[in-house]
Amino acid sequence: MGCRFELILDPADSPHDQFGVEAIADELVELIQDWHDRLSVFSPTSMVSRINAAQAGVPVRVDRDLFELLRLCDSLCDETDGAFNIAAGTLMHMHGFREHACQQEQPLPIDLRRAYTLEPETMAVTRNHPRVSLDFGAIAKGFVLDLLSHELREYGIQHAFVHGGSSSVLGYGNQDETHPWRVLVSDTPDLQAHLSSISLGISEHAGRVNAEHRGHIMDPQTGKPADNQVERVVCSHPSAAIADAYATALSVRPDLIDRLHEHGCSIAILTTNTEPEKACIRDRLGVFTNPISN
Amino acid sequence: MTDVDRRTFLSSAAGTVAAMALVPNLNAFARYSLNAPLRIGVVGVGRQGREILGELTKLPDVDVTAMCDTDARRLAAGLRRASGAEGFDTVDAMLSSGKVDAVAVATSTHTHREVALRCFEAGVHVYLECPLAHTLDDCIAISEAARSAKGVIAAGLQGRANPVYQLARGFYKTDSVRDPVSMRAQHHRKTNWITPSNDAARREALNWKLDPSRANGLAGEWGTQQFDVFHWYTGKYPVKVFGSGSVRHWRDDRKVPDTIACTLMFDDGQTIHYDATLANSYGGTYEVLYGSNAAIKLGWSHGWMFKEADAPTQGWEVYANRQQFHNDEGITLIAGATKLAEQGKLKEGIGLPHPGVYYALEDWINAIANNGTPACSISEAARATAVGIAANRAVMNSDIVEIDFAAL
Repeated sequence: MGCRFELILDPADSPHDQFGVEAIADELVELIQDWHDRLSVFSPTSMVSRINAAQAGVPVRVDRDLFELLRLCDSLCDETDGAFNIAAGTLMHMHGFREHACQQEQPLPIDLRRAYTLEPETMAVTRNHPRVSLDFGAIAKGFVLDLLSHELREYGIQHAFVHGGSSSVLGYGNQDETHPWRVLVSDTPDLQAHLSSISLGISEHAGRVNAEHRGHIMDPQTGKPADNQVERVVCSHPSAAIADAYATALSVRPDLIDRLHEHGCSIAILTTNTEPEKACIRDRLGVFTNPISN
Repeated sequence: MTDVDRRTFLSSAAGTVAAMALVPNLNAFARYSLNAPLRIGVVGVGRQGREILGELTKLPDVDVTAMCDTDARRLAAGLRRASGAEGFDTVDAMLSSGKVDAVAVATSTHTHREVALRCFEAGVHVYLECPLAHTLDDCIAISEAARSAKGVIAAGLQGRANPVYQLARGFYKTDSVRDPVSMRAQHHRKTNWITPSNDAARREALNWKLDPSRANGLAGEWGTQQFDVFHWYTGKYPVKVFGSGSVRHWRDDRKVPDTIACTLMFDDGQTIHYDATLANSYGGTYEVLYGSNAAIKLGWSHGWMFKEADAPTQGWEVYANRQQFHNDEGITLIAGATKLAEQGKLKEGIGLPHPGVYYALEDWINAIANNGTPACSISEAARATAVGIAANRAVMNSDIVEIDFAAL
């Protein structure tokens, strides 16, 4: 994750006073830090680094929470025809986004849809090729927001707003009695998301490495950076993890918009040459204001 | 333990001193090898217990097979962190299940006596978090019972197993600081120390740290760990302590000060100046030993030596890399420093890859595997705990308290 998280917790309508709410905020921050420590590919002692460092073919046992995340990733990979795939970490290495030099001329070592195997009986994960590298970067923040949402519910907090790195957003409850939480997701075109107990995942091409405007979002099917005109994808879903994963998948495969929209989310796709009338929006949940649907 | 703010620390150093990062040659893997996985149970899976669970999963030849907590919600959360472990709501049930060879105890301080004694009687290896106890009576009872325990009994004074602290102690012991001048430590962290809960009875049970009858405040809970670093380095214990404290920020009718200061005095006139607060995080947690040739600062994941301008150059310094820190030139002691420089990582410095509790647990398991002695025994921890108890009493009474080790 490695990004700034910000939390606003409103004690109104909760069983806690100001001190209690501050203590809850402390607990939530610890939970965020804990998952950062476990999922960071930049920490050699994180759980994901240990999975990636284990010998290919040798199962690595993980805890129940992490195994559930792996299963969720597996199912999201299937839903998106492989456009979202945590094995895309392999490509981040090949394309020089990690500490290794760029090796993009090399062929894909393995079909990334078969890059790893999960064993539910033993809660183990096995990498199926030595060059496979798992990376939860496209879902970790959303996954943590879902855990925070669960904790907020447990503590009886009614209204809260949390974001991780500005790209994963949880609007829990409402901003006040009459308004949902409002997030400006684009100023050109002018687009706001109104969140009432719902999450937002935003995927944006960044780290462009060359004049072809290829960014850091990898297409697991071609093995190359996603090559399209998508500039930003905004996806809203009750689960922040799913919103994050769908946003990444749509950055790679914008043609999936209608299928994923049917899975109960709102989607806005902005392209590099977006004019207001060209924004592609499917607003099943009614979160976008001023939507110019086409 | 929290990291010290290295940049702040270095930028405040005087221009005439040089900073050396003391970094041990860390082994990437644990030092021990067991014939069969060690079956470990964890008692108490609150915040500290969950950290222990997380670190145990990193260690080889270890299988967390059981855990115990009287709080159902915490137990459920703990079980999610260890696949295959069985949950218990009493220590007796866990010990009699036959599922554990060793137990890590991370319950609240005032329950250590009851839990530890049952584990000693069961003959399992025990890692007991520190402070050992909240009263001298409990401290003595644990210490006495540990003497006849069959297993390897380790106390969780984490500095003693910390590779940075071990390396820096070597410099201290070989006269790098020369004449000891004084010692200072702080623990600064902004947090209200409250464990939230919707249920009043549960909140009361979980917030033992804010109850003076069940805990020893900042001096006991944090000071004990930090005072022990000085005990271990100097081989001496303070004989009396003056303390004071007050609530500076968390005005929620608490009876435990959120900010304290203590001066611990040795019989030769040396002192430890200690302050701790829950109202400000500046500087984090660290200890400093000042000497006439150098000062050693220890920040749990990092350690440095600041040499005086008139201190003699030691042989190893010629092999060390040099770094520029604001106005000061530092000498870096890092294994493989040339390689790190090539990777552009030298300026970032090198800290320990794991938190302190990892090394304490690794040391304990290493002692079990090799039938050896852990870095910190219960008797050493009992003395450190006695210092923490006395310091807290001094804080609560704004008084000078004599420290009595006679009963230990």
